[in-house]
Amino acid sequence: MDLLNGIINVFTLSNITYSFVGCVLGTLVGVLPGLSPSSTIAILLPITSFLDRTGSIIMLSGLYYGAMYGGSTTSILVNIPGEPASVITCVDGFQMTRQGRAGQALWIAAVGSFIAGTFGALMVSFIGPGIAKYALKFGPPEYCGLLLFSMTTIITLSSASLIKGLIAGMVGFFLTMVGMDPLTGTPRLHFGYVGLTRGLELIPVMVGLFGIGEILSSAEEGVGQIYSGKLGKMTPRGEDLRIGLWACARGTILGFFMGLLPGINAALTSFFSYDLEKRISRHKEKFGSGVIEGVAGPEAANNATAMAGFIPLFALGIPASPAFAMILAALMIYGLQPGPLIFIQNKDFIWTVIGSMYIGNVILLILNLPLVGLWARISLIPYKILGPIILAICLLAAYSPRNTMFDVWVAVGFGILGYIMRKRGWPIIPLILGFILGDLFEGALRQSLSMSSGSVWIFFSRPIPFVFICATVVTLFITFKYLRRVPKEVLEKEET
Amino acid sequence: MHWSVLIEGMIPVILGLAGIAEGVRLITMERIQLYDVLGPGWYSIGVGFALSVIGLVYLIYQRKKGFDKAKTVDRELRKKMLYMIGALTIYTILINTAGYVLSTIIFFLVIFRVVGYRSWLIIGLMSVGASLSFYLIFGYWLQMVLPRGILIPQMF
Repeated sequence: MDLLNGIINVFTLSNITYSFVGCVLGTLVGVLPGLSPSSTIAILLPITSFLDRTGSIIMLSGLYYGAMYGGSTTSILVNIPGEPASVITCVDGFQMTRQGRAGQALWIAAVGSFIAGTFGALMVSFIGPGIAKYALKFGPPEYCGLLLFSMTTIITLSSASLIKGLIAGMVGFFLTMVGMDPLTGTPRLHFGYVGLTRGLELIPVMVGLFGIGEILSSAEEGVGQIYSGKLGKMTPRGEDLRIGLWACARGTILGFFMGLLPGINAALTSFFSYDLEKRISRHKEKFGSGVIEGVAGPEAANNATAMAGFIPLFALGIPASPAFAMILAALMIYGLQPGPLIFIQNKDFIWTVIGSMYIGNVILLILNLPLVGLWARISLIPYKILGPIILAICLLAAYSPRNTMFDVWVAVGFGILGYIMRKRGWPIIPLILGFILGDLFEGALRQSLSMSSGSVWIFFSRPIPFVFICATVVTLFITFKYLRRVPKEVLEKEET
Repeated sequence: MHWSVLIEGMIPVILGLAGIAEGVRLITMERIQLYDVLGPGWYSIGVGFALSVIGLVYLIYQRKKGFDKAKTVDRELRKKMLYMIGALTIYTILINTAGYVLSTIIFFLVIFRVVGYRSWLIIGLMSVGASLSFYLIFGYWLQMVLPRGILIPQMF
């Protein structure tokens, strides 16, 4: 019933427009190399604060899963992944283009994305509230365990260099200590500077690290323009269609359930799906030469993962990937605390957002099938126009939340830091996750220890934190075991 | 060990030590906080200690592993990126004095030139167009309070 109400709520002019704009922006972000959904969400965050709360989250969510659809376009057409999650799609997708089968590759990628996206939305509707109901029993020790569990994301996203990721995560923690302490209001690490006593704002930090940092790196890498070619026939037929659809189904299941684990992101599941397709195929040797399942499986998997991430985000407040960390930040900026209570206190809001996912997937299917030629042409926009405009938006984005130039300087400073980190192979995501989770973790830890008069036994004597501690250990084990199979280039791309 | 690796490793160590020093300062301030057993001081010491230790481990690890060479970059492209940083810095300085619109026009003039446009006419038109569009969208339509500047406060 709630879901039905949510879907009905989406059918207002403003919500449909937000969903449409989000999907268009997402596809655009996916199509344009050098822009990622997380950095675009970071840049748009302050601007959306002037818009309606529900509409903004509908738009940002649409932007995220839309990017998964759009990311395949440039991978298939020009061998340049628009998104880290589409890296593996290049392997067979681009070969299909060279054989004059670009249309078929784009068709199966769009249909696979639609199947996975709709399945994901269904699962979010039915699993999310159940998990949230259980999570209502959470107190500070339970939250502390949960946050510890969600920090495993830092480890996964650092696997190209674990120690660098750990340092980046800890620096994120350190940065949250600047300013007022969350429990007693004691100013810390301000070095006598008034600007620092208010602490570092999330938005300038994110805008700097992602937006400005990415543009500076792209300028140095000389990102230019790309495609000129023909699409060929669109719909695959016969055996190709059958194989492609089965691969979509497998990719959907694998991508969704793996995507529920923190730290397992769309780039990884698309790789796992490709690996699975290759393992079960009767003609393994043909992989890499333009097989349809090499496109269908990974594209379905990355979309299913994109959807799965909404469950831990909404029900528990755990961001499963960088883009979800941005959406988490957006929810917090709007005064919403993601977690179990969101399904009770903000029922209308949450079900409208979930309802918008069904509509968003239909919009994306329309955008990505009949209009695929248009997106291919948009990828021709030169970066020398986009780059300066994005930089100017970044500075505005940093300035707008508090109207202080201090925040603009913070954004420029973090932009330079982001650029240096990219150049020197330091992962950025752990830093931002540490920055987002640090405050929450400190609060939960200190409250828990106050409850137990300083004894850490409280985390082992209560079942939920204990389960989370065990889950952390298991996730770390699984992560390390499976990440060994993922090529380093995929991990490095996802990190940045 | 390469000097850049040394700096990379020293930064977390120094930050960690700053955290420890701050923690000690907060503890010695001695406030009675019955409801907060750990307190901001001990937390700060914990984070600072962890950061320093990981920084040291990184330095030891890098010493054993050897130095990873950074990717080679085209000199022209690097110059372009450095000009961009310069333009960003000047823009940030200028915005308070010249106001949003004027400083944004100047920023675009510089940056469009840096990214490769050659005709000043095109650069000028694009800069003025983009700056005014920004002002109309963010300042006028979205009602953002944009810096007016001290030079021409009455204009915008």
